Amino acid sequence: MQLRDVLDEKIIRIGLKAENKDEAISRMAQLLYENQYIDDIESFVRDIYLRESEGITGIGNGIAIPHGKSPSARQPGIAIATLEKPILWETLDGGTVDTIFLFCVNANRDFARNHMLLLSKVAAKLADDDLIDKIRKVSSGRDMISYLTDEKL
Amino acid sequence: MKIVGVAACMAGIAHTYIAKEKLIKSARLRGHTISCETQGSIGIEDELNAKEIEEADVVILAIDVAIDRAERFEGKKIIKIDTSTLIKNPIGFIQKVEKVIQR
Repeated sequence: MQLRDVLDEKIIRIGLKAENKDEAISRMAQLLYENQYIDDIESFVRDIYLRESEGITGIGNGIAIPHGKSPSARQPGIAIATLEKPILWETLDGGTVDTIFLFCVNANRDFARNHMLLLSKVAAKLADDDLIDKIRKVSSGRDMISYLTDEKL
Repeated sequence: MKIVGVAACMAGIAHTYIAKEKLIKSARLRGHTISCETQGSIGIEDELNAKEIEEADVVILAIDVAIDRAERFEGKKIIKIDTSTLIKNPIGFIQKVEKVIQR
């Protein structure tokens, strides 16, 4: 299995319209629901906010990585959105957020371990500021996936 | 310096792995050698070996939760930081570590 197998164009949105954090999370949860990643939007969003309450998920440089462990998650995946305009979010650098990686994972420890391993590799890539600069300018989900799966990193 | 590190966050999904990468990148940028393991929701990855720990000048624990097998670091110089603070300013943190260790 490769990185490409956990990234899915269907749950990537470029230029998502959202006025605030709630709207962004709810639109992305909707996207996960429509593509059979989660069973229930309301409980999934509640689990995401439970994690939000435990600490800051805006890691700086415009990136946010909300990620609850939710029993509503059927299969692991990452909904990704670049936003039409930056929004307020609790961030480590005090800045706004324009790119969101919403991790869809289950609380079950043995939940698709191979997939979880790959999701961790995607997370690791978000430590690369040069990659982030490229990602926020992509014009398609396909380009997003090619940057994230670039094995040079 | 020779550094070994462990990264572990609350959920073990994202911060753990970002912290590890930032730690490795900034340590190497400052001319140090480093190995870093992660303890996340998928368990231990890139586990440190006994030789690396033995030879390390410092153990960096970038953790928000208690970790497994902490006894491996008994008697070593340990510097602890939470994952968020590390992610926020990794180079600044490594510079602080340098000062503490060279003292």
